[in-house]
Amino acid sequence: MRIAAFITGRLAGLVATLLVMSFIVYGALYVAPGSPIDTITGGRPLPPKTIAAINAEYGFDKPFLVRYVQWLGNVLHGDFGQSIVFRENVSTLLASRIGTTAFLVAYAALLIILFGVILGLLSALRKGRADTAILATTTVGIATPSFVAAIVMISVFTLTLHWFPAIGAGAGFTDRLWHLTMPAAALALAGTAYVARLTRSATNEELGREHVDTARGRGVPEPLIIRRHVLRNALIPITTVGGLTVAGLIAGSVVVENAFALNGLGSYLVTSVEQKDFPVVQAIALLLVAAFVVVNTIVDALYGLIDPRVRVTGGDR
Amino acid sequence: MSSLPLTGTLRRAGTTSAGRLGPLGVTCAVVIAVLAAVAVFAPLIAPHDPNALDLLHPFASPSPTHPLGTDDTGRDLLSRLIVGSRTSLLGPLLIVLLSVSLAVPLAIWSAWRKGPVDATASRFLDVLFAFPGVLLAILAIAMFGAGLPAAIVALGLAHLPYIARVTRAAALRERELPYVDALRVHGFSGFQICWRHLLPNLAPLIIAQATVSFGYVMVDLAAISFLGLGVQPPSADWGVMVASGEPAILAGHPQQSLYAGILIVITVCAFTILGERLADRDRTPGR
Repeated sequence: MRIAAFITGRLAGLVATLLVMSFIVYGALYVAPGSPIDTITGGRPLPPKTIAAINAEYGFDKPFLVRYVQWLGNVLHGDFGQSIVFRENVSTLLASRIGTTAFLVAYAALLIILFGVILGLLSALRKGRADTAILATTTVGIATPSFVAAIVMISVFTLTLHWFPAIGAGAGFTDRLWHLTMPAAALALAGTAYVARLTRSATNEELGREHVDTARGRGVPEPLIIRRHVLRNALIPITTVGGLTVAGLIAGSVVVENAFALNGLGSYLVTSVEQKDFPVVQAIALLLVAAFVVVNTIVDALYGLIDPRVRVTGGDR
Repeated sequence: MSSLPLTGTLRRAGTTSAGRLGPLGVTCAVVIAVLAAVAVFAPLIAPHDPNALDLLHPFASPSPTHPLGTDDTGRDLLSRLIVGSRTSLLGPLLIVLLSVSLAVPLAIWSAWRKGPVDATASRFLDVLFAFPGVLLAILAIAMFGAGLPAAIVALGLAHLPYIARVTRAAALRERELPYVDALRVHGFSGFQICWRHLLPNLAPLIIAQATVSFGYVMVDLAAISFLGLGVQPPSADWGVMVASGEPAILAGHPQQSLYAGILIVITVCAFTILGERLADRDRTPGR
């Protein structure tokens, strides 16, 4: 019962946040200077009748709130309107690109969780040289922007070693995996370093706890102590921060897709901004922000499910 | 000032500041100082005009005249990196200043007033927090056109919650200390206490957080310039240089992108490490 109330609360928060986000995304482009009619007509002077017809077709003549509600209603039905540049349904234009972005983000998330946690554990449990080396590497890793990682990888793995292709997303699962390995690694680098750092400090903190000393005193074998007493507790902060890092990848994909010339949502967003194709900008911005907010909420809810203390106290973060 | 005990939790007497930063922290401070000096005196230091073309000598190898070689249009790479440090460092600086000047008053005020003011401010921060910085910047650029101003305002807003949350949490602790009660008894107004006593005591923490933020903001702004939405070519800027050097990488000339990229990484490293050291220094043990 309490869990149901907890989840309902989080869901209500999610809907509220999504509404605010959609309002920001729609409102921002509504107040943008320069009329969308100029984009459609290419700035040619047209008779007032034609302009009125365009206004009616795209709904430019209605008041803001009416248009917002209409737009939101259409969006909920999967209709993002028409692209001004391509005169095509935005949903159709996005459908062919969403797969690349989703694959890229999922791939990078997997890399972050896998390598971040392994490196962090190694660092905390081995101590000594391994710890120092991992600490130094992660410091540089956190500071490396994805696009810098991208150009370094292209120069090393494409140009020198010829292991991976530098551009394109590939077709079919294996080919795609091969094509997106470098982009996913570039996208995952900073997050992996961050999660490794976090895993290290969370594990170290648990290792120093009294309950661990007690377990040692009782003669519990070390591997069991690590698994049952240290990892289980350390997993709480790792899940939260790791989840937030994964959510951050959604916005980060915009940069990586451009660095590797991938035909995903992010690169299309940048092109559409340059072309002032506002319906497309609105649609992609909304999709990416919504994905970000949804992942955040899931992480938040998971945090509550893993750690019952959060549900009782309402979370004091 | 009055003769009241004004020691906040965040201030500690003791060893010199350089000693407590550790050798790594001092190294980072020196790196930042050198970079700042280069940016300030860039036109004097740069050996060549950063935009002077020499189409006969593209991708020249390093030589005494061109210590780092030239780019695809024969422009001197060293000069472009030196002059590029200006927008690359000034942009993040403006973003951090904007963030701090909005976040700190908001945070201290809401911590001081508590109640509905605090709740409203926190909701506002949550909404901002839920909007990824790079996306907010791209949206702002869609509104106002490509260039630094839109990117700076958007990133300044996007990073506001990070500074505000840290400041608010510290201000909430600080206002419960006995010296604040003492000041109240003496009849000081809330504004005076916040401005003259809370703010100075919170300053070390705010500076530490701002230093770390500088690093992260620099990554975001460089990414915007890399996407072609921030600083516009042919202006020399590190983010732009990474992007405009990219086509040449596949032709076997990765120098421009690599040098600019390495400079970004070094700068971000220096700021984040120094920021963490500053934060450690101001953290009282046992808290």
